[in-house]
Amino acid sequence: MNITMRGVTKIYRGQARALNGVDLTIENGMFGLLGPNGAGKTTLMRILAGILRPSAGSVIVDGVDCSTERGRTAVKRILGYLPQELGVYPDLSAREFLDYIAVLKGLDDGRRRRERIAELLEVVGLTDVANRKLKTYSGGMKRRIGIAQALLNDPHLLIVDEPTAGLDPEERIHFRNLLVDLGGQRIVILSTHIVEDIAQTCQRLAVLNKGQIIFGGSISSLVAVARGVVWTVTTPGPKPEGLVIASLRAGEIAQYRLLNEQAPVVREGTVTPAEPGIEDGYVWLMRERQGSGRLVGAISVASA
Amino acid sequence: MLHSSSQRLRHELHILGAINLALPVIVAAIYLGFSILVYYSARHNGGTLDYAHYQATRGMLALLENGLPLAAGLAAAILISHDPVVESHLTFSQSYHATATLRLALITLWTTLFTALVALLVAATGFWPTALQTLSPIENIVLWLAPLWWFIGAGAALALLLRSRVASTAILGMVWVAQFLFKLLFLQSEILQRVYLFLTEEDGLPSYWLANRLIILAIALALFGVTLLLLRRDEALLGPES
Repeated sequence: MNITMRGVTKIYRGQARALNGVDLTIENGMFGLLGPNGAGKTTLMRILAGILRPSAGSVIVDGVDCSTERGRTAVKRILGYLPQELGVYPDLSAREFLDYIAVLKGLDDGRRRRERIAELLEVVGLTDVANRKLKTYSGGMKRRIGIAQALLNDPHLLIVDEPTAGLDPEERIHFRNLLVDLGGQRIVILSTHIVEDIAQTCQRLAVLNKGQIIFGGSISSLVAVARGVVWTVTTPGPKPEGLVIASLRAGEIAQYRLLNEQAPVVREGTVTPAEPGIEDGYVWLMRERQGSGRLVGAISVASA
Repeated sequence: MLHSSSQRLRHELHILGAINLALPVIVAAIYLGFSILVYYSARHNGGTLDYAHYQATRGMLALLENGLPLAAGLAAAILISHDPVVESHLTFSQSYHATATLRLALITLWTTLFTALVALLVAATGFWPTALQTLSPIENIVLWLAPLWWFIGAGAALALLLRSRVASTAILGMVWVAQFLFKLLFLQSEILQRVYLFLTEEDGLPSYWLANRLIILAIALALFGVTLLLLRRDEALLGPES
């Protein structure tokens, strides 16, 4: 299975251009879509999910053209979608909610529906609280119900938009592991502005900024963007020049991890080159993009 | 299939919520309470039995013509203005348009049946206004059906246009109040009198009463049509991108 997007542009009423000529190819496995808030990630996800129609360009999902109503309906049958802000009906229990969604998704056989719901409640770890009303659920539990509803029709394509926003660290890890497990058998597209979520789950990613894909490739190639510009500075003196990624102070001495094209100059202390991480690559990429206005990194994105 | 349909209906009623479904019943209870109060107050203040009966009759007519329609309109606006699951639903093969239409149909059916039942009870208990007893059965129905459907249609259309529960219910309430405040203005204008929602009087009906009811009913059906068209605008149903 694969998804091909060519020249996808979305202009909202009022002339706001959310996407501008997006080209993207995605194949089976986990795929990350990274970008700052307002980059156009949700618009892209909604176009992929068939909710929005692009103003220009084409979206082909497994050979099906999504520019037609018939194409979108066909894709919806194989799609699972977890929106950024998943609402629930607060007075329904988790089991009732999933049953309702399953009926809407066309699972008409009552026995099969009940079995599928029981199976998914087990997968997301909510079997014990399945009969509790959703208004009593925490944010993390609602997210898990969200992923369960997305999986009801056993989708070949799963789109999750900012799934870990607002989750505590334990819930975030649980959620990421769940997504990785699911990614083995289908395309899972994870859209987020949290770099760590992508780093822990995806092998391929694209970075979206101001409606354009500014990077596409593997995690290691994004990391490589920052090779040679990451420094660790330990100094009792003032903050050195450069883009500080992290700082740690122990009494008089401060340790900085920073990005700079040249080794920073400090009067006292040490400066050593450091191995870049994905966060360094992302931040350097965004800075380069803002500074030069040119594209950085490989633009042709093909998930292995 | 049949089982899933009945399950779905059960879920839809659950989603409509007890408050929405109870709203007409609560409004009926309030009007009934006031009518009883007025009846006994009239008797207590030395009024004749006929006078007290007349006052209670007015209360019951008001319930049918303006109390229950407002309650139904508010319920429709509340129901249609916000659905927490709309974004997910737009990705299902079953259209959101069909689901919202089903919900609107359920609330319309429920409020219509309940109002019909109230009308029957009012007539059976002898509180149907004497001046209206010459009306045909169909006219007796359009008396309350026209404003009822007008408010449901207006509530749903406003909810979809404004995408706000507060704004749509507030405007609906303002329209309702304006009918009382500007009654004279409406009745003095040959055009406006045809669309005045609360035209029925317990003392007698103007010559254009039936035309008024039919025009209001036609507007109501047009508002339902507008609602169904607005429900097809998937992109407009979504909230803004965060």
